Amino acid sequence: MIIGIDLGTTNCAVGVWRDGKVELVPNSLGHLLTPSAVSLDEKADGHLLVGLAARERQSTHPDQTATAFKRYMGAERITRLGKRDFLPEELSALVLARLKADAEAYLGEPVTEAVITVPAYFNDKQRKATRRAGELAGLKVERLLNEPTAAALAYGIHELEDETRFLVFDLGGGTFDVSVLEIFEGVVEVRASTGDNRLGGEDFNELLIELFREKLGKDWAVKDKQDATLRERLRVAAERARRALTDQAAATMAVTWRDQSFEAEISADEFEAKAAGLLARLREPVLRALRDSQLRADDLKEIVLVGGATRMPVVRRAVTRMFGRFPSNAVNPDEAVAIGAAIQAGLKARDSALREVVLTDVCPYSLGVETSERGLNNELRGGVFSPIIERNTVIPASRVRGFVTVRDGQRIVKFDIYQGESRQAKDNILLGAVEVPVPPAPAGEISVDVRFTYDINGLLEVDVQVPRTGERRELVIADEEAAKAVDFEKRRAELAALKHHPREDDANKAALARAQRCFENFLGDKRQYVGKATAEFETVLDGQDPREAERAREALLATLDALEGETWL
Amino acid sequence: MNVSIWATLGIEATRERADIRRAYAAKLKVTNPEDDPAGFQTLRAAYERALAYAGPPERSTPRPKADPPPDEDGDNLVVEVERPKLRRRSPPKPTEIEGPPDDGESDPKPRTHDWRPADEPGETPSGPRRREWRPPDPPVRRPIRRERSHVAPPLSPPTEPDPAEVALAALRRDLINALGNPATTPAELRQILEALLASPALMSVDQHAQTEGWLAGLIGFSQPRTDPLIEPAVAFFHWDEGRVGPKSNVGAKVVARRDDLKFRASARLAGSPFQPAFHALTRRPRTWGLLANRITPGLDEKVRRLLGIVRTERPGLMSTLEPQAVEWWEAHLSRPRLGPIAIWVVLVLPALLAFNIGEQTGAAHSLTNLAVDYVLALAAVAALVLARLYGIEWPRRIWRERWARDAPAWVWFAWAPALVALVLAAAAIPASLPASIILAAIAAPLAYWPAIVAEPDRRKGTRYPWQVRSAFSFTYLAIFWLVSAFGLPNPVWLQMSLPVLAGMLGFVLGEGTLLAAWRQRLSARLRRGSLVGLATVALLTAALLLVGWREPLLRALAAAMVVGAVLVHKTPAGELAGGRFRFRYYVMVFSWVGWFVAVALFEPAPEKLSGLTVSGLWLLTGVLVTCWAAFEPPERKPRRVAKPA
Repeated sequence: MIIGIDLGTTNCAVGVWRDGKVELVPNSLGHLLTPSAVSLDEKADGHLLVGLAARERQSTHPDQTATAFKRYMGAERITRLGKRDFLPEELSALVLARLKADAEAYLGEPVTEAVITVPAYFNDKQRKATRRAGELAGLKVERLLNEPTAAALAYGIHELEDETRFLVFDLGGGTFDVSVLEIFEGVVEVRASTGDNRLGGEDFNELLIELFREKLGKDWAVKDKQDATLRERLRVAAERARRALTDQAAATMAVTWRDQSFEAEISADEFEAKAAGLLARLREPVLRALRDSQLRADDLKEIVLVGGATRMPVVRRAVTRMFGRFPSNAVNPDEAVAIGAAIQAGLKARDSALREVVLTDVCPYSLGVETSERGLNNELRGGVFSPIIERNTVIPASRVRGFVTVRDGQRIVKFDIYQGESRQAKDNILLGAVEVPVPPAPAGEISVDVRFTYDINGLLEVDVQVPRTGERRELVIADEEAAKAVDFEKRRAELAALKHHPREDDANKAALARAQRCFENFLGDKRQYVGKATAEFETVLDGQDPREAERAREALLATLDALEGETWL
Repeated sequence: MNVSIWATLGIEATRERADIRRAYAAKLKVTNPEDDPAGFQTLRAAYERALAYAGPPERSTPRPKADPPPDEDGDNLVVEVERPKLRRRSPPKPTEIEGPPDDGESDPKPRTHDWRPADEPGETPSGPRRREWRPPDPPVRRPIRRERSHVAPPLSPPTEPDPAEVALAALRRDLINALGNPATTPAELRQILEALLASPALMSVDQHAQTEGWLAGLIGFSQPRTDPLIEPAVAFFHWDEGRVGPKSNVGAKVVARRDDLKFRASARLAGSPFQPAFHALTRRPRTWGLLANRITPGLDEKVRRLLGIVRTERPGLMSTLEPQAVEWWEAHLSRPRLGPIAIWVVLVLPALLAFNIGEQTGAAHSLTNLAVDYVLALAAVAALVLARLYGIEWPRRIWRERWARDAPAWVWFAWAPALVALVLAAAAIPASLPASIILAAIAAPLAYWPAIVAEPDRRKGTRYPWQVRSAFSFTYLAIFWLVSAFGLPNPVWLQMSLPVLAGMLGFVLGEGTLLAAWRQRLSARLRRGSLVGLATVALLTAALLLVGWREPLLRALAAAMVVGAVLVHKTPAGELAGGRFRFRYYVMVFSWVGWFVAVALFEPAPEKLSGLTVSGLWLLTGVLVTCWAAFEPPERKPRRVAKPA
């Protein structure tokens, strides 16, 4: 069975296509969403915690916990948890392994293949890192699906009969994607896909933290600005305030620091005023998407909102103003991407109910080479980016362009392959290089053809040919990391060998971690109360009776809910 | 693509978008992009071209806007009558690719930019075609078709127009009116624009796109009145972002205008190299001004450059130049004319000569005599100048414009070996009057040939004009030739002199062409080979000088070979730069001393090491050093790739 995985910055979800519909897989705590967090429990002999428990430990043990590593996928950033260093893809692999285990428990059969979603705007390196993460987790990654396309599938699966054009507005924890799609005759066609890799709900949190600091005075805790614990506490408080502002006109942000409690009230209007800049940034990709698909906002039937951050009234208001209509409520913003991934998994498995659906996607960035241009005074200007596959071309795509030599007697022509939109090649991302020898001749007489073939999974093949001599060079922008097969196997084995807490303990661990966080956050009476409740729970746990433990856990959680407000992810 | 797009889609040729889509969807179920990428690409290419053929989609509903009549490009501008009416330019509508109808033929010819082999399936050009071709349309307007899924009404439909939109429309009208009112200052215009750009209605993407197109059109249409608006507009809409793709240059013209204005501002500054030319081109030509134009040295070249830049890179600036001035300058530059220096010479030199002649002859300084002398001198100078103008400049122009492009290579270069051969022949042929005359008669046209066809070495970066530089670089050869008068019998020397002179003149006049050919036309291997050959010849000549000093014929031949080697080695020497150049220079300067010292030390027979031999060896040292310095060992370096075909 192929599963569909939404690997998000903040939360993950898993879905399968079964019996003609999508089923979302609950995790060991019974939740449909699993936080993307990994934590090392040093006290328990270096066991790893994945999910809600790890998330709770972010504020209590920030140096042993890693979250939001999706922002660094493809980069060389190393996180140290305890004694071991992890790459972002390895952390993602741990999360994926946990999701795999959850799916196997739910389905009752082994799971080896998956469709994983990535933001549409992920570049080549990031996509390869995601694929490696899947493989490190023991999953064969059937397909990397773009998140807005997945959301569109979730939305459009009910609308296959009609002709619709709609826009998917995906504002997640760390990334922002906009896709314009069209459905007709059972074909789901992506017209344009744009986005901003560095815009998400977290940025709104940062705004709230700034407002909080302003209200408390500029010198508040300025020395501790870099402290991870304080940052995490501020982030949690900001997140809480943000959610509160969804329903209320004002919210209180409360943070405990150095045994003191600090509070500030923030009104929705202040927040909206501060967020004006971010909201304007939201407009840019939308404009580009509409321009690239040659549509107007009037031509769209629906605006589909995806991603938890779109629950914010400021965002919804901005979207309404942008498009002149209210966005659609047809899909659950948190689950849409996972549902779409599950649909794609079903499509891959050729499920009979889905045989009538075909999906075409586009390449969201331009791919080309660095060239020199001859200016009008006959001077040569280098470093110019010449796209060969333009952005928003339907994939798989194969395009060819001809180039000529620039110097007399030139013997070698070198192509640097870039991905990006800037006219200056150096502002784009370098993917690789190809060299081809050419016969000596005056400048401009030898032509070289460059063919780019971009397949549906984002694999780029470059084919360079000199027609005059028949010389040919090929390059597949391959994954150098995975090419080192020996290392890869070793890493996978290492990760698999890492100790995890048994599944049954997850819920208890999560509850304990949450209790610990609350203990640190509260002061005085409340703190003592939490401490007592925690001690009681731990006693029951030692008794090793599962049903007692469950009852005690429920009681503890109820206590914490009463003190803190409901938990969320 | 040998299969028709309609065959790929499986339908008859049609313009109905709905039919094309249905066919595509049906075929897509069979040729899935996951399973059959190549088949899918063919299908997709066929689909896109069929859609292009079918034309842009109809807008099913009119847009309800609070604006006055739906002319988004500002046709209702209040504008002066004499401005040319702008062709109606629509806002960024879908510029679908349009192509000729396909009746089963193969692909159209490859475009200039997107080259592809004609028999490869499934490629489409990666940008909209510049040329728009439509099969003739019947003039009947098709009824507005409602799509099946009509634009759904919003959940709470706004019944009156949005106040922000109304405000925006009002601001737009204000801006237009302000532009039409000549009394508005640039600051006021900018204020209105900034109020407009701050309007909350721009949050709507449609309004944003529409305003962007409208503003770009307005700024382009109402130049130069709208120049103050350029900066805020470019900053707000990020038109200068430098993104690739044809779909993202709504504001390209505005950015071009901004760059033009910057260039113009810099050209106006006193220190700018373009300032005199700019000044000349923006003044209406009057008599005294024209005279000043003619006699200011260097102005011609600057005006020519500026005009070239404006014509090719900055056509928008053409309107800031005075049209009469441009016309006058173009006429002036295209005719053969006397340069400013020539005019000064023609006017002043005869006066000096007249005075000189008057002094010499001791004639009375009467005005008539002076006048007569002046006129005679003037006639002589004028004759020389005109001879240069019509004998050399004009034929050069004709050559460049008409013959140069198609001329075979020998016309460009053959004068060089011919001159060298002539010098050798003058040495080899026994001296006699008829032979001398014949040789002189051949030498003159051979020296005239590079004057027409070739270019002297006019490289920039040297302080002296090229005439002075060339004269200086041939001093050594001149010294050698004068010294050789003592080593060669007189008739031989006289016979060879004119060919040698012609050779020097010819190489001076044509050095630039030879240098260019040396750098660009010869491959590295050829260059290396010729340097080795030249070095061999130099060594042979040295041997000849030392061994054959007894025989007059051999001496003459050796002298001719020295002259030939020196003439030829000027070309690779011209390429030397930096350390190597300085090395050669110092070798040349000091080797003279070295040779002298050697002569003094060894005290051999004076005839053996006559002036001819010593100076010949000295020059050959220079040649050998040049051959060594200019030698490039074979290297392998990757080079960059160039512009699209």
